[in-house]
Amino acid sequence: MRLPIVVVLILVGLTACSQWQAVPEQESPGRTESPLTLGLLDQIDSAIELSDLASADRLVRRGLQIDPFSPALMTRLAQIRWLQERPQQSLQAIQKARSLNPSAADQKTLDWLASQMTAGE
Amino acid sequence: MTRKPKKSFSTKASGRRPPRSKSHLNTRRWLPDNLLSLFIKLLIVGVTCLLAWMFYLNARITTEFEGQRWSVPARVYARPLELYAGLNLGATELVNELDRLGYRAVLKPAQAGEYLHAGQSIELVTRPFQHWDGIEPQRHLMLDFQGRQLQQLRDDTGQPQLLVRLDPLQIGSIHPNQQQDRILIQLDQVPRVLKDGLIAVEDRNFHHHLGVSPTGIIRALLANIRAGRTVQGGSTLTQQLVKNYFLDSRRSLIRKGNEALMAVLMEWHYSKDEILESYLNEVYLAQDGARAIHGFGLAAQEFFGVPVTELRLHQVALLIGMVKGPSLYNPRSNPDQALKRRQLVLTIMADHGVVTPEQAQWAGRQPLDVRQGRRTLRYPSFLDLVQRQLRQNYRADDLASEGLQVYTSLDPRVQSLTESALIQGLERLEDQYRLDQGSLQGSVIVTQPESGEALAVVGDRQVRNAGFNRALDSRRPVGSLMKPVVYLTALENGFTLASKLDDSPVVVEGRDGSRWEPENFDRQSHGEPLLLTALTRSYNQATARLGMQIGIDKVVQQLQKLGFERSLPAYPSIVLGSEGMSPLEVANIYGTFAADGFRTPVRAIRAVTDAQHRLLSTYEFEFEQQIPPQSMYLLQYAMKKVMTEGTGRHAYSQLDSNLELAGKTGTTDGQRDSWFSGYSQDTLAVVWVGRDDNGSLPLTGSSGALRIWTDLLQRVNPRSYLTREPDQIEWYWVNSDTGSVSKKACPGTTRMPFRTNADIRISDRCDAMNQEQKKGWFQRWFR
Repeated sequence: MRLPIVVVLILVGLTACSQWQAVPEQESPGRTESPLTLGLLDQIDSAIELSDLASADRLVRRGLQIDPFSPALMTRLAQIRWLQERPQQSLQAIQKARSLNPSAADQKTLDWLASQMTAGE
Repeated sequence: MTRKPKKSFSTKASGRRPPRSKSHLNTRRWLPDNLLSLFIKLLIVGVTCLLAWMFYLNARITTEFEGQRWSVPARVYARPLELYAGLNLGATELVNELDRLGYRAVLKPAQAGEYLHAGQSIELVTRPFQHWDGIEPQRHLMLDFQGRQLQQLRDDTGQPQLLVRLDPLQIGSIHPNQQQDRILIQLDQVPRVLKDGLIAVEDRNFHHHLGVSPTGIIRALLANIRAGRTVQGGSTLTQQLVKNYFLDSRRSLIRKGNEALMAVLMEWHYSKDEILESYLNEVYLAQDGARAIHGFGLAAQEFFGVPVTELRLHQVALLIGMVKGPSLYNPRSNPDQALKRRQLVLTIMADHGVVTPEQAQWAGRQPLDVRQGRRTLRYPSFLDLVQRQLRQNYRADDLASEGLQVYTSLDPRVQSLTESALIQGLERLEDQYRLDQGSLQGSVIVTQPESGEALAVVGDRQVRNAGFNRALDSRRPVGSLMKPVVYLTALENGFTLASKLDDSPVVVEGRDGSRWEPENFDRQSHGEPLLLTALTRSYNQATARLGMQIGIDKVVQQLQKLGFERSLPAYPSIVLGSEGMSPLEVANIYGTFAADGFRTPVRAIRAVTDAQHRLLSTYEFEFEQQIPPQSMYLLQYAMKKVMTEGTGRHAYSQLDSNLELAGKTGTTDGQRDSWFSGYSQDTLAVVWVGRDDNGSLPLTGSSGALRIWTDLLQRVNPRSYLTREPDQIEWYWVNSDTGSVSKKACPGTTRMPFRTNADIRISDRCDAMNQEQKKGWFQRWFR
């Protein structure tokens, strides 16, 4: 007779524990980019490196038309607008990129851009 | 003038009358001399006049024919389909897209515009196309699919391709009424059989004459005499070009003379190739309502849905045949005549060695192969939006004449699905509620919320009707679609999702003595619901009180921050959506919700280039953060609850329950309007259903517009709406009766997000919550 009572007590205890556990922290890891976006990012970065901002701009816009949720592409847009000396648009793109769950690398770029703007002010 | 010599003679001989016989002799001598002199003078005068006339004609040719020869209407294109591994698109859907573009199914694709569909694979040769941001060359591709996804994209050597785009569908052109339309082509684009065939049929001495062909005229004359009527024309291609471009079609000697002179001058100024190219672009080939179809470029698109480069022999022969009688040999109105004429053209082409007899026989066996004519615009409501946005930057004259290329965001697949969802949805509702067929009207606008790009617009259940565009122009009260604006304002002003509201009768008296006394849909009051519950269940009294508590001014300001552009007077009933809005205006407001508080105005145009593909303007992504992410996150949470537990829950009777969606129903006073606005990650759609006479409906937002919205979302295969939790959000358990908040899960509680540092009292123990609950019940009982 004792065994079932013990089992019931354990089950009740477990249930209670599960109900009383603390609310888990929600994790928000950076988004994994698709192979297409990664390929486009390579091309955009090459264009930026060659100071071919017009090509980089076209590529990033084409990429965002296909995948407007990509924080990495939005980060590149912020970068390009900054290089084009359009700080207001760059700032908006930084804010947008931040809302899109950026990866650590994107975040680093965004922080750097934001610091440049602050320094510019 | 002819009298002048006589007068001159009598004057010179005055004095004495000469003897008669002498006079007779003199007259006989005088006549030939003076006639000759007269003739020479007349000749000089005639030649001078002729030369002057020729100078005039020459000036006309050089001034009118130089530079831009034709007014070319702006062409409007849909978005190009981008192909890449991982794209959510099945083989059948791609085939549908290819069919819309006029690609041809063949066994062995080799030419641009051909494809082979075999199960889960498609072999395809794309068309080269000059997009606004660069040239996409012709490509030979192999595509492999798995279900509704493109798995692999390779070229014909097996090399994987990152990204390839198809040529875009032309969805319309912008031209004034009663005007010529044409697609300009260059001679090197024209198939050889078309050039040679045209010359063989219309002017076989084209390469040898100087504008007019005497042998041609004699041959035509003899043929006409033999037949006893006009069966053959003697005009060269150059004369026909001159007649079409400069002159009218009156049959007079003077006109004919001018035509011959101008043809000679034309040949003097321009090469044969230039003349032939101009002819191919100028010639009138058909009428489509008020629009005159000129040139082989447009005719190829109009009758066969392909560019001129892809015309096949039987199609070429048909078009050449139509030159002689555009109306008589129109394959749509006179198919038998057109077939006979095509056969004759093929025979002439074979006789002159343009094609072999076998090729001519093959072509003669082909059906007319003409696609359905369209006297109406394909997507009139979307084009309407495009034109309005274009007019902000371009003059109407330029749009109708400068050959601008307008690249838009229209997604033909989504547009087509939206049209069928609306048409079928309205028919179903009319059947279900036993309404007169055709008594309901509706409109839908679909956007990509992150970019604000319009994907589809339908402004009438007669989707080809270019009349009143309800999606843009119909301003109808939006009812409860307004509530998220009110609740967002509240969340930004100290309220939480767990705040208790007062859903009891409310009366507002206007300065003019009018009374506003809103009721709930069920005509009940619901005590003190949580803010979350009041929104998900769409309680009117609670919302009216809340709106007045936070301030109507603030609600109006919020509306404008969200993207509503008109100014509004701040009166109480605005919080329950008494103000009329168009579906486009609603899409602008809800677009900001869907884009996490970033205002992204709806736009339909990506770029505009001139006729030479030089970029004139691009329409960049516009986004501006208007709402703090924490407030948006709380509102998103509530709007998702509308879909799972509130007035939008019917959507999940059709859609996958794992699909996360957010939205809101709207029903107006007297049930005159049924609205639904909602979104997934990649699709925002606003649906309105009502009657044009503003009559009452047996429908709510949930039983009307939501059904159409659900059907549409099911068809477009949307992505789940995933909200990223911003910083400064904490989750607690909330007792739905009392609104008391705990860090721990207690019986009867639900987990909800709160802004960090929200003004809430948090219990640590369930019994404390239960006390709160009892107290709340007790207090309510004795209130």
